[in-house]
Amino acid sequence: MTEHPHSGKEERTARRPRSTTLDDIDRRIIAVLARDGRAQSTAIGEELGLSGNLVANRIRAMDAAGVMRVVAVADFRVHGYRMLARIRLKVSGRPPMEVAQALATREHVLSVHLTSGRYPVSCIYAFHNAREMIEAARDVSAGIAGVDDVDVELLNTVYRYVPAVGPLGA
Amino acid sequence: MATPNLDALDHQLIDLLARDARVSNRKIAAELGVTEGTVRGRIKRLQQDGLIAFTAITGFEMGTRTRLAFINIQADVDRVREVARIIAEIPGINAVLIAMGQFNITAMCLIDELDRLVELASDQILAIDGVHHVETSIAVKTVKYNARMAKITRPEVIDDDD
Repeated sequence: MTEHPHSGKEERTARRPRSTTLDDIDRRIIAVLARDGRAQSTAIGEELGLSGNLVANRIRAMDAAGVMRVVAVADFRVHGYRMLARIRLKVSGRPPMEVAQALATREHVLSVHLTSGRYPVSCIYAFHNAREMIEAARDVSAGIAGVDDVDVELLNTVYRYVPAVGPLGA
Repeated sequence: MATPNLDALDHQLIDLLARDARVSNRKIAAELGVTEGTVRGRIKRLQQDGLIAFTAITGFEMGTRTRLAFINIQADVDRVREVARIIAEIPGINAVLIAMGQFNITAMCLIDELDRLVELASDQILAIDGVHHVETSIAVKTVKYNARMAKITRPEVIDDDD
């Protein structure tokens, strides 16, 4: 990347005050990217009345600071999955975090959360077929120490799914 | 839920975009040895088929108070779809799925304040005709989250025939 020692005044004055706080310009850029993640910096700039360079710099800075990332979200069918289930676990005699970490190492587990309520661990599991789902449910209760009870819910029709926010990094 | 017909080029394209969602068509074209027009056309087709989407995500658990919450709902069996459609229209609800288990609908949302969850779960969802029981649970800690995979919905899914 080439250095621009004489970058315009706009770039200097509009520099973000701190790397982890978002200002109004950042939020407007994020709003456009949420709608179209591949919108070109110049096009975003035209829409928001900013220079394309400024937009590109902001996007790069937000990405580097880990506060915003543009992602390509592939439908789970792209990966050959045909079914989704939520599996919730009751845990005893072992910290739920350890159970969650054991679960997280499994390839077909898409997300794992520690949750409040009756089930301290909750995950979303993807399957290629029904047999895999049955085996996974059995395997989670028999194969992970500390798992007391397993609740499996097949997730069927999806009415809405907006992955607009997610933990970044890690 | 048919398995989509994707060829090797589609998969290579998806892999490149998974690594960097904003890589230019020109770079992709050079890397895969095809024209920019092919790249543009393929991406457009994948988007139209609901197989890929590009969006900006901002972090939660990043020193902010934003938390992911689950709202589990027991609704009248013969009104499940209708209720799910109503819930999907509520602003602030990020996901609505039909479940087969203890609950028949599950919704996800992001909350900054506990009050907001109560408002969504009790004031709005429990008030819908046909909803019997609502249970909430907050994701206190996220151990794994694959933002690169999701169920992509298109507007027509909401109009899905009963």
